[in-house]
Amino acid sequence: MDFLTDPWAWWVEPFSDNPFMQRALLAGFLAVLSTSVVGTWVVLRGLSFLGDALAHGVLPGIAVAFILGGSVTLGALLAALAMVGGISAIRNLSPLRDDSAIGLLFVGMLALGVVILSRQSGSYVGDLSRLLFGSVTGIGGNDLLRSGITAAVSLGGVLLFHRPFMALTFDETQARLLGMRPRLAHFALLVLIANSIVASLQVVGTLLVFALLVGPPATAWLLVRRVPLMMAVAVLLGWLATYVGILVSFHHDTAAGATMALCSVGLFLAVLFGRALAQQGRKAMQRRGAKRPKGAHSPDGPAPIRSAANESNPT
Amino acid sequence: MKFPRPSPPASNAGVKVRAGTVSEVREDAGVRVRAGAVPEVRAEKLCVEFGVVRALENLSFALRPGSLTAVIGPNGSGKTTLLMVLAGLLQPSSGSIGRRSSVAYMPHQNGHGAPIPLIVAEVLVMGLYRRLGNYRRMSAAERERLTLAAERLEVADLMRRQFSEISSGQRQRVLMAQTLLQQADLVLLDEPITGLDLASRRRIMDVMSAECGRGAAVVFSTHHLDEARHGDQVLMLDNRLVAKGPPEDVLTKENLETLYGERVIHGAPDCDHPADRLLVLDEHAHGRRLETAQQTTLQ
Repeated sequence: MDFLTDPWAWWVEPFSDNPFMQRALLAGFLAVLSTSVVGTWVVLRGLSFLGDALAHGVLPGIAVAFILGGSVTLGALLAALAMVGGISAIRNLSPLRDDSAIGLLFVGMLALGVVILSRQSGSYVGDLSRLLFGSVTGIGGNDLLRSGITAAVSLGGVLLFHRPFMALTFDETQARLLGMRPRLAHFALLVLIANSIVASLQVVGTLLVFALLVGPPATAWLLVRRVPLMMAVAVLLGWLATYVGILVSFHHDTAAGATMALCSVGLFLAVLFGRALAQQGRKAMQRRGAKRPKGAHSPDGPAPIRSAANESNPT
Repeated sequence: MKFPRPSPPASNAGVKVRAGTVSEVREDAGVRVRAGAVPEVRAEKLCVEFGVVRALENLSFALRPGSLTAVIGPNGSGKTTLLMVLAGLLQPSSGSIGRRSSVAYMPHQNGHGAPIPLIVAEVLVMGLYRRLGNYRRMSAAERERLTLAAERLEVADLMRRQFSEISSGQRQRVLMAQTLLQQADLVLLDEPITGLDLASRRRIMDVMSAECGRGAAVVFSTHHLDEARHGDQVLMLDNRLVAKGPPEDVLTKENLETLYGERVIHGAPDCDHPADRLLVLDEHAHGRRLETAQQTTLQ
């Protein structure tokens, strides 16, 4: 109960006293900025499965980058782009629905990553687990710069493609006739998803990035009904989940990425149940209001229906 | 049910117009028609095949600027396929179709049921996307046009409502206003009046006439033969062109029998026009359903 009895020590001191916590918080906020604005379109377009598949499909890129000693971010980005290209190619060349193309490449890329890793010695395992589950507390200055760039790319992309995404989400046929180039817009969205996943690699890791990509936008949709507003609320909710997640991890020594992901999903469930309860309460109030006869005032409660009826109809 | 067109004014007495066509409205409104500026769309021997199924076979026709064309035919006769080919959304298997400068297409509204968080105003703005591009803001004139279109279709008071939460008739009118905002030379409407009340149908027919008055070639598919009679030409489809031409030449007893079957036409009460027979037959059936419902309620 320290967070209630000693709020300053619980909520603020970990950040004021520890530079690594400040960097972790900033990295988390940048990752959320990127995932929430892109994730809003993922949720609205029903592309959650694709988001999950992309998050896992970057594994071979990471593995190859590790082995060759190159940039993990670049490896993940290339793997994600290869997967995006593959999905588009299968979509254009076959009568298969998108989910089949995504499922095939999801399994294929994940399996490829595991096969590449299985050929290596155990020295990579520790580093790789940090990428799979995140290492937000070990973030350096260069990582922050990379996160800032990827967040800027996501924000810029979402602003530039706002109208094509709107038209595409509303009706793909109309989008084409309105000159909004739906195929290009779809491809751009896939690239932005890949970019967001790369942005979150060090924060929550590839296996948990889905929680940030879908969690805050899905929660925001329960609360607001306009797309720009949904993005803004998703960012705020994501920041809240990140802040609480990092603090819980700090005080209770839990895995930071997983705790943030858990907070994001927990927030969604809390809002969902809170909303359902509020709706039930409103309905109960309406029913009570409907039962009460008009103009009946009594200090002991509403007048009995029979007496009210007799007053209005003396015969 | 009829949608009367305004009579030509006395000043236009010298203008030769065919009664009951959009030309009348055009002349009446004093709108300078852009006929000639936009070439007519000519389709030659159009065929569309889906595997072994031939959806359209050997269709040839022309769409003049400023004309209203009704496409009629039973379910599965290729009406939507034809509109999609005209819109450029579907490539014909063979045959050719002339170049269309700008096309607006209003699909049948069943596809717009997804509960995405969009308000009516946002759906209307999409009608201006082609002109606005990816990021240009609306000018004052475009804002005014949007308001005008919303008022013409009587959806101005719905602007802040969620599109997924308004009625299907209101949605139809919003989509019509969006189509209107595109100011296209070829306007394609897939069953724009199906399922609408009388006032909404009248409103949409008026707007279609006004679009013709602007110089656009308007093509609409319909199951309402009485509304098809207001077109300048009717294309009667049954996967092939059963008949084409002015309504009085196409909506004949023989053609309707070919299209809908002899039994349906002869089962209807006597009327002056075969198209009315179908309408009256439909109304009789509706009346019988009402009577049955009333009797059931009384029992």
